[in-house]
Amino acid sequence: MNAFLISRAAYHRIMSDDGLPHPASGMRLSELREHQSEVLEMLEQGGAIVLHTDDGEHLLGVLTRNRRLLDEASIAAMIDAGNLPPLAELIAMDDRGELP
Amino acid sequence: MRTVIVPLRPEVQEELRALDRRRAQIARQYVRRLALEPYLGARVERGLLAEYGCRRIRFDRDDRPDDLFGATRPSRRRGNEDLGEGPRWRIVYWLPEAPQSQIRLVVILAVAAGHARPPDLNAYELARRRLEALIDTRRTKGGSR
Repeated sequence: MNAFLISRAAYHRIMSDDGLPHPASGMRLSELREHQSEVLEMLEQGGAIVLHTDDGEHLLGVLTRNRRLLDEASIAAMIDAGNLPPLAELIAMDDRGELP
Repeated sequence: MRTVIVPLRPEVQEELRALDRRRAQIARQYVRRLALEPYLGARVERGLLAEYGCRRIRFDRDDRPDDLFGATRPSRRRGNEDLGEGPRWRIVYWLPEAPQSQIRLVVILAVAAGHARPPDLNAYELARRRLEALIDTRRTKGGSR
């Protein structure tokens, strides 16, 4: 019989079903480039990074691949860029049979 | 949730026009079918397109996109066939959802060949570039930079 000792933090990451993004960490902007591969790995695992400016004075936001946030932000970006009509207009176009 | 096909981008319309009549008709039928079956295509497995959850439909002139119940076998590449064998064309699309608005969009990113010789770009490369451009406001007139 084999026994493995793992840290409480590692156990939490593996076993947690609390609905929170794991792994999660705080970083400053310049650290993103410095730790790019680690950041990518964290995001791929469903984690999140709380991002601050380099001077630590401001919160920039949260870096995440949460599907819902990603989709909503992408749709909003397309609308703001003029690459997509506003959703209400799109629905009206669909109702009129104007979409493919 | 309501599924809406986003108006086709001019470059996609151009790609449809460049196809022969039969393939263009099949591609358009598949696009319409996505309103009923948005998850019809298989997930793209690598790169930026995979990270956005994009999908792809492989098709060629023998396909029957109106065959909703699978009466005919879809054309597929067999294991012993070369990568260039099997359906040559791809529809690459993205399915972002806005749950609060109860809407799911079907954004057709590319209708092009699955394999291309440089300098031509294949459907996935075209789709990746377009996806990036679509959500990058800095590159478009509505953006802040």
